[in-house]
Amino acid sequence: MKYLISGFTSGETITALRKKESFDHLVVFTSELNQEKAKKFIKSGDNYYVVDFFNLNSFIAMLGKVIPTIKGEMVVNITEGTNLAAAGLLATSYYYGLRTVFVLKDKIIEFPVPAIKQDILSESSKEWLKKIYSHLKLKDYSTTITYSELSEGISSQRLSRPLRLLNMAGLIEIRTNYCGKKIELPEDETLSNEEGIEGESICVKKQVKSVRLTPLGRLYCGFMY
Amino acid sequence: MEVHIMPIGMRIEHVYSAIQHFKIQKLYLIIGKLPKGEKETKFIANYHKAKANTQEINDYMAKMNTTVIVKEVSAFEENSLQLFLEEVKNIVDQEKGNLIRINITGGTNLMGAAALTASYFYKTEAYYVLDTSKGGSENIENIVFLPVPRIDYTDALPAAKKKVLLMLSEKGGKVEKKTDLVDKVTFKTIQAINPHIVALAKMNLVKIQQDGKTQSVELTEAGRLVLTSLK
Repeated sequence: MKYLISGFTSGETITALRKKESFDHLVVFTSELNQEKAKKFIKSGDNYYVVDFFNLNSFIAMLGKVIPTIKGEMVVNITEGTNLAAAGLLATSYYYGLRTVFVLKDKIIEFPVPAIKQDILSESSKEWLKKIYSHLKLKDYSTTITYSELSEGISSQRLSRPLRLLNMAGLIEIRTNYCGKKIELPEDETLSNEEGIEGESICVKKQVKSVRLTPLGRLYCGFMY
Repeated sequence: MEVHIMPIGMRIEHVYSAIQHFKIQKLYLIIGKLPKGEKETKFIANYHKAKANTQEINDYMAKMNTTVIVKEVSAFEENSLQLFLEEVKNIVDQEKGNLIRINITGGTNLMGAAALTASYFYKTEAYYVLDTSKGGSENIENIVFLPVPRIDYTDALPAAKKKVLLMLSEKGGKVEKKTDLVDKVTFKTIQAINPHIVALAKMNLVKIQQDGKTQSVELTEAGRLVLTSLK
């Protein structure tokens, strides 16, 4: 089975591609505005999905749901839709090593996508990424989760290596903040100038590390989990 | 230094949004070159509009002492993608050591997609500026950082296949027959090298073409880009 995966604006480039080669099925992503036009291109066995081409996160989430379910040869057309939609489709192509095309007038331009699936992670890193993803899934992907929330009692040393690897792979961002905690000194104690700080209380700064998913991390998780 | 690369065309709102958002110290603007002998008035008008846009941005950035460099790349030819990638590669080489970001919002769709591909291979950041007057809300962040896969084929390719790619590259990217890749050191027979060539063809890194009784082997564009990460 050969599938054409495409964004949809007018369908012109889909028609052009179909003239040059045959596809068994069509999978299109369209905006609400072009939904009716897209329906006309759909036959039995084809699929269309309505997406917001200006919202990369939701588009990526949709790609993550749809692409892994397709079993067969896939050709990705990045000509239609916004540049942002092309960005989502292109990242998908590189991740899966899919043939990717752009229709320019009557020419088909092949994008240089090596047919190599990018699986860059160790099993332990994948498990931690899955944990981060499921924690953030309950909140919002743009928010962060602290190491202590994530570790659930596991020592931070065991956590730091896999998270560093995820960071190096560009899937998460690690942030370090300092959280100030004011500690009142006992009544009979004050700090003098010689001790560096003067007053009846001291402020202890604690390092708080947190992580968030990068856009690539969201894409990867969308495909994997 | 923060360097931005932006393909632009008829619209430039996204350029101003980026200027406000980032501390751009050097800006490369890429516009579509007017094809030689182009007679279609629409193309000519678009080219002049894009050119005028670069002048407007240049004047604006001059007030901030920011360098603007304008490049013209053919945007409507079959090899436009390669030309665009080469242009970005030249900029990336020239700006080595600086933070490079590519704004893929403007220009033709092909330029946007080419700009994004360049960011994958040359490991730069890429972003898109949302037009809040169209699809977004004024309250949302209008700069969207794009997922840039860390493409590293160093691990993905076994040593023997890397060697074949490098040998092919040393021979100018193409050999007329497979036996031209047989040497006295690594691959002494055609039987030794052929499975690697076939596997590389399946990966879309080389193209095998039947020419009478012989088969030529040529690097594909993907193969050339992969080589840049291997060298």
